[in-house]
Amino acid sequence: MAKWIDTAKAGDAIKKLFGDNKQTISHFGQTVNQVFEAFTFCAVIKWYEQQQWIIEIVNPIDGKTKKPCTLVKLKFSTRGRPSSYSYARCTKNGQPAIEVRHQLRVSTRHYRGGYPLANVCLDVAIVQIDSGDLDHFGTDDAIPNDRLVSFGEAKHMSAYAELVASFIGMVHEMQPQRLKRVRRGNWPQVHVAPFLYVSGHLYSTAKGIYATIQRRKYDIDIYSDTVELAKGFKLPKHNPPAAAKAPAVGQSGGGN
Amino acid sequence: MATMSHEILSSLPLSLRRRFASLDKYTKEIADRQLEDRNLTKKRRREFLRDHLVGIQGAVLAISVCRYLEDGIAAAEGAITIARSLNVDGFTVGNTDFSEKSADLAQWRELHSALEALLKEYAIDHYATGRHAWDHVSNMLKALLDGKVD
Repeated sequence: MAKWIDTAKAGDAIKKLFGDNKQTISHFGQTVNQVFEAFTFCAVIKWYEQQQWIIEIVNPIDGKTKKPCTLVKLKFSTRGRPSSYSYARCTKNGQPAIEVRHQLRVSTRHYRGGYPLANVCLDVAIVQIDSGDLDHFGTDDAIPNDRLVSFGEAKHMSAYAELVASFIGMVHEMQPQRLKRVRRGNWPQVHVAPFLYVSGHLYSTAKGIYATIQRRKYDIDIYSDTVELAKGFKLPKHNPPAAAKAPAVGQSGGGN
Repeated sequence: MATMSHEILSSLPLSLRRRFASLDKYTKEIADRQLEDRNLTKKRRREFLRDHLVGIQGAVLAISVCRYLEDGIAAAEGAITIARSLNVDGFTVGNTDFSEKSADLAQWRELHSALEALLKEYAIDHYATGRHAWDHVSNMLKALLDGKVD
């Protein structure tokens, strides 16, 4: 018969491991949320490439070299000019060009101008704009809501019912037309649908609400971890290590 | 005496400690729920948890931290793979460059491998199938109640 876990020894050994690798685990803790956001941003761009869009990554000019950065630089804060960060410009025959931006400020659907402003910084924003339109935008400038094609939110936690409900509220503010019986028959699948990505699990309360969302045919998706997001966006080849063992988490979500 | 969970939590940086701080409570709730589903009386559940809860909570936390490392690494690798397919080397977060040759990412991988080895050494990996705390608790209860471990 096998022995039950020696909790004292196991706890000591794991503590020692993290103590010996303090710098690495600290770096991981400080950086991993942004890494999940970068993955989400890249996954959206990849989805468009797989739908035969032509992708051009536009990187900002490096202040030191005066040349475009060689790495994607994302905006991990609500502050900052859009032109200081990377984005993807996507074009396709017969479709207006779009841009995939990170942390872009977009006005809400019912904003009619003037003060107070009504806008939201979206983690991933897919917008229909002409090339260079955002070059002069400042940190507080928001693009009009009618330019918003779709968007995604990345949350670094497990999802409970309230978080999912809050996301539905956000969709209601930004794209209320998604909250109708959209997904019936062959609904148009030109763009990614608004999505919520959580880097943790979907608790059962969240799964319950998501099941009702699917029943109501809302045009939104929820992904509960990297594996789900990769599956949902049908990313090629690269499977995270745990993919083979991952059970379904109660959603069949896919970008659309 | 500090429990296994306390030992692990105390060695994590604040950002990760916050993320996993409430896991013990959640683990206790789902363990109790699963025991109830197995028709154990309240008294028997209380006795069982008194004897085994610390181990179950510690194992769930260790598995969860390991999975989180795994997921973070997968996300970084996924983003790099996509960026490279679009002719960009990778991405940057603050002062850290994430590309194929990233030394930081290599250290994440090493730490993950070392933690995985410890889970194996202490036979925690047996219970790590599935992706959720619910699955891990279920695996442990099955082993304990079916007399596969003592």
